[in-house]
Amino acid sequence: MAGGGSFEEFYSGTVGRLLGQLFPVTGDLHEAEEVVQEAFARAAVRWARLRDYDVPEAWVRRVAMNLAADRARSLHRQASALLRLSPPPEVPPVSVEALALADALRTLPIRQRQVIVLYHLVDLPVEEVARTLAIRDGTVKSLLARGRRALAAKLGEPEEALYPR
Amino acid sequence: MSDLRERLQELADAAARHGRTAGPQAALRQGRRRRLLLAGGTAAGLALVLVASLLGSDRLASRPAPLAPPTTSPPATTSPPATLPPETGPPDVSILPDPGVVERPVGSPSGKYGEQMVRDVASEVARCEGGDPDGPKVLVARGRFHGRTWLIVAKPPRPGEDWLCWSHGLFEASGAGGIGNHGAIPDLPPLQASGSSDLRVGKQYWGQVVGTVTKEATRVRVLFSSGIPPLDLAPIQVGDRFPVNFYSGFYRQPHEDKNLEWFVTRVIAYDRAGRKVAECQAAAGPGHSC
Repeated sequence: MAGGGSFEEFYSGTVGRLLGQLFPVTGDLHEAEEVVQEAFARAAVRWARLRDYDVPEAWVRRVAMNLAADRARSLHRQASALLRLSPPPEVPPVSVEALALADALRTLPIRQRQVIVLYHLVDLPVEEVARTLAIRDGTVKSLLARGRRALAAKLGEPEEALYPR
Repeated sequence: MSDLRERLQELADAAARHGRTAGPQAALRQGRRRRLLLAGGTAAGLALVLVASLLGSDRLASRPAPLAPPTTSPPATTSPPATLPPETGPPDVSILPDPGVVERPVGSPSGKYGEQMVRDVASEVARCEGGDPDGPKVLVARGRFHGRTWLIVAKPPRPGEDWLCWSHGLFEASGAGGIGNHGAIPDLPPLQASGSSDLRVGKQYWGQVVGTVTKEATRVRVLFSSGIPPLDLAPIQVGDRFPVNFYSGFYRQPHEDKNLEWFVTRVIAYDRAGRKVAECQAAAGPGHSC
């Protein structure tokens, strides 16, 4: 999208993909919609500059990831009772396996979720994941290892089945 | 048995199919309203920027230390919406809801759009669920920074309520600008920070740091990466109706263009004896807060 066209075109061409990438991070479709929309709003006012970026979508994704992390931290501060009483997360219709994954992801710390999504879904290399989240490469590797282990345990499946080489 | 990537992709595809966003036009409107553009200043203001010096003596010095206690009738500084000027600002502000009663213990900003700036920020606070929905919104601080006007509006929490609704705004003289909405955060932390990073004047970019801090604090120190010197800020005393005080300051970005990082790494609050009373960490990057 380097040197791209209008903001509207950029939005229309990327919003679905970004929603898809943020949903496994937030665990709630409505939450994903909100952070993605907010990230686009921030991109809108910078569009004159962002449009010249090689990949302006990466900027929006980064902002959305940060917003998701901020919201997760705020939620974490809520009383557990409130969390128990809150409505269930909004999840689109998916297979049982994918639903189980969404549930398992929701139990992981936000950083582990982000790293897993950026690495396994967005297909970013470790260095790019680190740059996106403003953390070190080693931290990414560590979060990946812990996240995978935790996911496998939550899903009751061996790690090698989840991450075939 | 599908592997992780396949299942993630299924989740992503389903979210893309079923997700509904407000669309690009809404993003443009929302973005215009939230945009925080700042005029830059001189390097002299870089090393140590105290809020009071930014505000000028006509701002903080003349403000009554504690805010007036809640009253049953609007104080003299309150302007009901009916007295506000008609829709004379940029078009995107007209979509904001009526903020209700807005107290202005620090006085309204001057200029053609001063009232509208207050109303815009107060409207954001009015949306927040915390505090008395029918209670006043309070303009707790305002100041100028190289021709721009910044504001902080908050809603006093109800008794026993441990959260706070507040927003800050930054406007150009034309009334164009943006608003940061901080909403209601349960278990109000002793220190919060957020801000913006791409406030441009000429070729120079500036960042803003704004937040709330425990009343114990007499100084807030903001630490940055990229060699930016620490910034020391004096909390803005807003009185007993609020469980925290506020602070705001600006720092010069280290590069001249295309700098979108918020270089704040850590914010520390100190009490009068110099003891650390609160601290928050922030990862660098757009959209972040601490």
